[in-house]
Amino acid sequence: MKLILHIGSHKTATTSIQHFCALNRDVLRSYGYYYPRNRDSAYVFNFLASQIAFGKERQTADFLRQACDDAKAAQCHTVVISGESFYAMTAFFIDVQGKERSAGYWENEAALIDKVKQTCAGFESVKIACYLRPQNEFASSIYNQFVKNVIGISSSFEECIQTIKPIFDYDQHIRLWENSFGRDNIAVKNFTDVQKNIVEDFCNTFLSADCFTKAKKKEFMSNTRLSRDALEFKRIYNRALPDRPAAFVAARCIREEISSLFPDKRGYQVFTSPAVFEALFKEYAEGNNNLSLRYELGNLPPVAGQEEPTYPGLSLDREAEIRLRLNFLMSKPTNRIEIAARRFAGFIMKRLPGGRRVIDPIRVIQHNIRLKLFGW
Amino acid sequence: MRFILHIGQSKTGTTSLQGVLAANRIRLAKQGILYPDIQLNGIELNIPNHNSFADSLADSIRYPGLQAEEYMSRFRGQAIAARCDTILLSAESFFGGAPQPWGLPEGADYHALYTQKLTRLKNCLAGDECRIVAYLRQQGEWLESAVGQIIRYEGLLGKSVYQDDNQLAELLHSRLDYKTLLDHWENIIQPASITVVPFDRATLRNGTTVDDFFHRLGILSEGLSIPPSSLDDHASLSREFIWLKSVLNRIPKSKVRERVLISTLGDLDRKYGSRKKYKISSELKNLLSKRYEESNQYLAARYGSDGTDFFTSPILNNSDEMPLSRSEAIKALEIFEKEWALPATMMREMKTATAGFLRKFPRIHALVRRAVLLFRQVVWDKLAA
Repeated sequence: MKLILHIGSHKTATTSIQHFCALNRDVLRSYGYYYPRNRDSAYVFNFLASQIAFGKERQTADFLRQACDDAKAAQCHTVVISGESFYAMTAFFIDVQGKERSAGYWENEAALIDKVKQTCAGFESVKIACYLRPQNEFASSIYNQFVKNVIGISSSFEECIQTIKPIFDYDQHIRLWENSFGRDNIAVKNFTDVQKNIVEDFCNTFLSADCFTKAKKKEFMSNTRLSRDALEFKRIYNRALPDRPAAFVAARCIREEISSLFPDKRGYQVFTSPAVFEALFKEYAEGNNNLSLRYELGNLPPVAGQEEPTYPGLSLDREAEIRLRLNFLMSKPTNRIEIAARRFAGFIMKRLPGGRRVIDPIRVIQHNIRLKLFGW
Repeated sequence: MRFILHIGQSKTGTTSLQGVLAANRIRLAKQGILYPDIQLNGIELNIPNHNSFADSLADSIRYPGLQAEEYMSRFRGQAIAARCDTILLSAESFFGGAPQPWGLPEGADYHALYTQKLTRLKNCLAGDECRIVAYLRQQGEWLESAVGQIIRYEGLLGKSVYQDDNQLAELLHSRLDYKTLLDHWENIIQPASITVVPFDRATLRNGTTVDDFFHRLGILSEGLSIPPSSLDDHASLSREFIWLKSVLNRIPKSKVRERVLISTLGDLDRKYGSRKKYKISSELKNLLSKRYEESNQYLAARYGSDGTDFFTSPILNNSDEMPLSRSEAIKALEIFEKEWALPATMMREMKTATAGFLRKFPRIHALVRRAVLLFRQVVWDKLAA
């Protein structure tokens, strides 16, 4: 049995790829590719990386073993797992969350990747798939994502980038994966070249071209960024440290019902000047060149584009309007009920013995319904 | 039959005056003056003003949904039954109201519609003697007050009216040219007398429209019962709550929610408002003063008593007024959010929705309204005792 492990990186249309795979499981299966289901999400496998980062690699190994058995039973030859959080696990699971680590960044990351390798022991071969984009685009995009997250950050762009600086060293990260899995088992692609047809490229490169041409559902949602006004508001909201159920519903309201009401003007999503970007990322130019040579990536500059930031800041009126809109949305009976239900489920899972066993099947049903009805 | 029409304008103490008039209907009737209540199927609706009648003259029909001629016929019937020889009507919508400058049909002329409205009123008066009383406010002062009112009620207007002070001044130009409007009243209604009073607390009798109005009519104002609710129901909101409402106006919402918001903000302002008034710029005030200088000189010559300027109060310089600070604004926002989260707000929405539904059945609505008013009266009386 083979394994294709798509490790991201973040903000390279991973959500689109994952949605495609989740919505077209049957088609993939008919070509021998098995995209498993899981209890934590309807489409993504980041929880496996999380388990490894937090010392629960045995659970990851168990999941992969089960997936392998299920794939065999379904007469498939390859298991496909996609989770962008496999890339730079130390940064995303430990540093961003302000947790302590005993080893240096690279030492810790190498150890985690080795654990990934161990959890994949049941597979005959493992192929690591990764897309990369210029560091400044990645930085802007990941900052937006960090603020947008359910439990989002409230720091400024510069503060955030300084906290996660190592993740921009693509060359070093890929070398660690090469060290564990072998150079021949790593495939790196330039995201900029295939941005518009990323799902098709993923199928053509890592699965089979027929998986895309024969797929029934190609209108999948992508993980769109927040408009700048909504982003700045979310930063303020994040400072209030709401509990997770309220934060979850608020994040969805801001993402799905508020953000599009405040469209960006040109340059609003540029968080700093090209000169500052250059100063931040020029140190990675050499590493990018090395990667380009090893994987024939073509041009992968650390800073692409020369757009100046134009965002004037969040006005008091705008802030108040977004806040009131969110307030009205959150007070809708459906949202109130959802928050109460999530709090209740959280209480059962955390406080009652065996509570997780009760809630997990409910979550699976919820994911399946959501995926079928809303494609998300 | 004789008529006395108090025609406004809005923001000159009309609500207080109407409250007092409505609370003293019996006392007035003893002096031969009927201040008619609007009746539906014989049930008095206890509406303190006659704005619905005034608006119906311009085909703007609102609760209780009568045509102008029907109102007039009922007023006359009530006067005969009460053996009154004078009917007193009070509505700021006579001078303002429909047609609204922001609601004109495309290509329509405001003054053409305004004169049509007055012609219909003239027909309703059917040649009876008519005296007109109007209180007018200096254009800049009125606009300053109107901005707050328009922002406050904009959600019920069905369209966005306010963008900024200058735009609103332009939109309301026809309302601010008092000479032209009063000429329409004189030429079409041809009243026996028309009294135009500058709204200036320094010159009003006892500083109030109520006392001044009663004095001008030769009615004793001593001993009148003054209902507490008539004094500040429509008082302008403090500037921080006007700002908050202007933000809320950008968010689409149902009419029910809009009504609840309006009343909630009114309550919050009474409890927590800074009492700082919304101010338009001194530049705009001066601009308006110059623009309507000629019109106001005409008012002084035609309606003034001593040949001096009609509006004597100086234009106050607002430039030293500190603008609304972020902390003031956020404080108002937080107060509102706290109130909005209370279950009482949901109850209020349900109550407003129910009232709105009942209005579709005027007879039932009138009965319920009457019952509620009676209940309140009993409770008030007990409390007063």
